[in-house]
Amino acid sequence: MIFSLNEIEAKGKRAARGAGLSWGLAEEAGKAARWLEHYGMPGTKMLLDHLDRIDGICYDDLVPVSTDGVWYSRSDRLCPLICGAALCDRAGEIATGRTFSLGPTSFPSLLVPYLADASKLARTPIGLSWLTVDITLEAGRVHIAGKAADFLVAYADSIHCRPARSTTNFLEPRPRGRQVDTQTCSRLAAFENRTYAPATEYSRLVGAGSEMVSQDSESQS
Amino acid sequence: MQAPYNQEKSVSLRHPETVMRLERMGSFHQCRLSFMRTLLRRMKEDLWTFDCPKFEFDRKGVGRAIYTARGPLRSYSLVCFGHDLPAEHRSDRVIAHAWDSTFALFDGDPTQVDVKRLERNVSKQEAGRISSREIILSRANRSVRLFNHVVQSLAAGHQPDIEQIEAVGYIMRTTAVYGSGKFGAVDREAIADRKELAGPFQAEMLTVYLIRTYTIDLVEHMARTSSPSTAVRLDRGLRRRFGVGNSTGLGLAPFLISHPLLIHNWIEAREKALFRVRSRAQATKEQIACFRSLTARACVNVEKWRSRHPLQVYKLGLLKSDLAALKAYAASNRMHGMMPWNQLFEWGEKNLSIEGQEQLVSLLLEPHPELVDGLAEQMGADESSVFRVDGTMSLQRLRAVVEDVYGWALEVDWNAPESVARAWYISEEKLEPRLGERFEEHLEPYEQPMAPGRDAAALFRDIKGWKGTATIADFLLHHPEHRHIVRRAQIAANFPYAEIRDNTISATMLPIDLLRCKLSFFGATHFDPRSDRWVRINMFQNAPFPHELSEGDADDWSLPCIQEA
Repeated sequence: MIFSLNEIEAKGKRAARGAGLSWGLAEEAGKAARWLEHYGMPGTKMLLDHLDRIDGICYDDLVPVSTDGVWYSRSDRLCPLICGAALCDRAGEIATGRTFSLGPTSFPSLLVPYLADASKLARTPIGLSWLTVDITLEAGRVHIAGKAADFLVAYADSIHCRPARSTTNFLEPRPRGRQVDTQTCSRLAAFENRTYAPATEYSRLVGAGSEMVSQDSESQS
Repeated sequence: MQAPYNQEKSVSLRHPETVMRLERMGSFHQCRLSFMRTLLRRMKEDLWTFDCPKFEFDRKGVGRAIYTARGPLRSYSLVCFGHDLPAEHRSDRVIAHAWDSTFALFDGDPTQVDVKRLERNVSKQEAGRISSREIILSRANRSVRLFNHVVQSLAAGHQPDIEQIEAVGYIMRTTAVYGSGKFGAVDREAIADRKELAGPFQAEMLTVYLIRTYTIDLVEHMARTSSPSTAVRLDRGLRRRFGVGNSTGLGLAPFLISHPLLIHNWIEAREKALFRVRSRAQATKEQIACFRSLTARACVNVEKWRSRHPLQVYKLGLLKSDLAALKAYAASNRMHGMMPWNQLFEWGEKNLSIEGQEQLVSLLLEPHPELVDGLAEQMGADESSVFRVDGTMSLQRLRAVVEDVYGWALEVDWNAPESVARAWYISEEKLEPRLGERFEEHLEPYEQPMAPGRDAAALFRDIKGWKGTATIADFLLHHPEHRHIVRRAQIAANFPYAEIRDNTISATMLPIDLLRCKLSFFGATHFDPRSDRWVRINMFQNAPFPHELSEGDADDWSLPCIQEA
């Protein structure tokens, strides 16, 4: 099915909320899926794969704690949705030359959208690297070097985020809607459904305003 | 903001604490900046042309039509499908499954293949899929009584009864107009750089405008096919009295809360326009004449405005006496003094109801197109530009922002049940926004973030335990539950009309106030609440039709003419 980016963002947000993230983090998770899909990358699928991983894990076990300057979490892998937001919040520190190192992290490419915006906030190019992947984000645009398979990995042991040099050859976004396969749609829906309140007799009566059940009631004359 | 508020000057922008209250927002009226009016002004100025390359219907109104609007750079086509809908299936509810007519606004000129594809999908609405070639998906139901009356009258060779037309005001009413990437349509961002679509809801307004022509063509066609020898067309004078009805329910209400930057831009444009008018040293004879004429027409308008909702009936009573007082003021010599518009505005603040004050704001803008109309250009918004949290901000600064923007909320007792009586949620059954009773239903796990005041008060409480020099970045790592409200607070710190300064979950809040605010910016008239959470309106009533745009004034229709009284 062809989805608009707007739908991908809205569904991604609800799915992330359904998986237990706060509304603020979920909003940014939806934006991350949208950003990746805009560049033709499987942002929705990666978001879902990651949500499957963190489903049922409490925030305190996912939040990064710093040990010797390296971020780790109490669970075995850092969450890129939490770390992405935290790194973007520290765009100003990156601009002043600070580097960040992350230990084991799932779906590192989910960090990229956050740092794309961080490069705008910081008004400086930001570098992000893991395995063979070397990414430069500059004024919201993205340059990617390295193996495609490494970019899409489900897990990286070590990630570095730092100020970078200005570059060229930025990726071009794909202009129109994206294909989302049936399986991904139903997985999205499963997470989304957790955010919807089951109907009760009371809500049926009150929720929309009981007068709305009347049909074509042109009572003006 | 360029123009200051709350400074010691004779004229200032109205403070957000005054403007962004639900009672006032629920009293807004259409004005020069309303989106229907900006659409018609642009199309007139840019010499848009219109044609109808396809119109194939049977005598029951089943078939298809295409209406194309051609601008200087691009064309947009409304693809219409008429259906045979049994009366028992006709419902205005968003969850209906069948409609009298369904529509898509196509980007350009559709081919036969496009029309076939759309016919398969558009008739199913939410259950179908459209593509990035489409901008809008919509549907409408007949006003059965008026539709049949008009068809039967025209078929019999005479004009429909004016009283019946006045009582309803439209032949069809839309029950949804979906844009912004819904159901596979093109993303807003992909078309927002087009001059003609840069303003808010311009594609939606164009869709409704073309639907209006379709409804008239359809009734004339059905009259002609049912009685070819006797049928007549609608008189030109009568045609204009038909607008397009619209039923708007709770689905629209969260929009004003979910789009803070956009709402700021709408409200600020209107407030700047008011500020500019109030700042004028004198009024010309022509401006005074224009104001007097429009005030008289507003008096006619309120007489035609029908509602049975007790609250609206009460407000209409106030508005009638307010307009009478305003008419008397406008006829007096006070209009010839120094800063007459500001004097009039200040008189209104002291002597008119809120409904009347907001009517006055709209009327004050009318004689001043040169001051007002250009502000329409600033009413769009790139919301992604303000999305990211500024993590470097200190908690001391955040605390000051919360005190400034949400000061009202810090005074509310959020432990009192009546303060938090409601909860916004999405229903699993309907996938639509709903407003529930927090203490009657199990809703909290599903609650949508639609209570900025409550959330800001909770944020304020938690900040207190932190040092003022700490950064938001550190605070949010420990308090992810505040990330949403911190984002809103930072937006509202720079864009003061972004936030509603009222409790959106209290026992007494009225969702229709949110609906009316948004619909007034559309340019709707005759708000008719049918409960506290849905409202009927009329769109484009009295507006020139596409083929008339080039002939006369494209912007002199929002209030009825005196001779129609």
